[in-house]
Amino acid sequence: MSETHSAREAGHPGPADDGAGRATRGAGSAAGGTGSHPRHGLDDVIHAPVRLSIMAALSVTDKAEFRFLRDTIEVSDSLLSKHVITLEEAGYVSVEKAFVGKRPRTWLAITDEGRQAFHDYVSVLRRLTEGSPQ
Amino acid sequence: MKDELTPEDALRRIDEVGRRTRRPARLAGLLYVIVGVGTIVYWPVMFLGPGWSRNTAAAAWLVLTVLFVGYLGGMRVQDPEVAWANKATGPVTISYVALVLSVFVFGAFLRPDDPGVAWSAALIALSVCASVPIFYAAWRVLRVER
Repeated sequence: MSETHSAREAGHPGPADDGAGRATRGAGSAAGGTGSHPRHGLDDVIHAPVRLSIMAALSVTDKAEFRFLRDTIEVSDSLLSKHVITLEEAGYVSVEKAFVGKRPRTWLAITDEGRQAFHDYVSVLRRLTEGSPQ
Repeated sequence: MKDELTPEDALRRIDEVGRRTRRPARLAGLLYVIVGVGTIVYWPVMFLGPGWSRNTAAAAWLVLTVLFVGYLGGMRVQDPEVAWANKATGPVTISYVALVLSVFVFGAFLRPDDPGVAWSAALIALSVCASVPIFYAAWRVLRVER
């Protein structure tokens, strides 16, 4: 199998998205992996372009403001909200709303669980790209 | 945005998003460098320079302070290294304030009527010392792979 194939093409079920942006931890996820190939360790909650970008951004910060994140990963408010809810439900991201003067600000931060999941996800990606399944 | 992600795509995206997310912190790091250089220049100019240069230095310092505080206060992302460097009770803030105060005391109260080379050199050396915490903060912020 070519390592340049997408995870889905490679037999990985990919992000099981219910259409509302809610990912489920499918058979290929860290939670429910059944095979020994590293791709089975890919977390479906993270392995989707927008959610991956959110996690990548939050992993290098203490916290980020919603609009900053929107501008950084170049998505619409609604799409970002949808995926943030998914990550929040998975326990990977925490959302804090605060007011600066009269202006509401929404801050997002990665949780410890999210950081660990992201770290594991990146480790799996590295194993996949190095072509040394363990 | 592509729907399918290869592992290579995913790693590339992680790097790219990480770099973009750290851009404001990188700018903060450069501001630290400017403040560090400003610290070295400011005090010798204030205590050794002619009147016009003192006024210029004071105005420049004021502008730099407003820019620095305004930029850091308006950051929409909280970088761990910038937050560490800016902590009011952190080592950078405390050592910088202490060293700047010592330069001020040296320049304001221990200045001879006709400052010689030795006193001027000591003032410059103290100013350089005062900038060290700021340069250390800049190094901490900028060293992270951006």
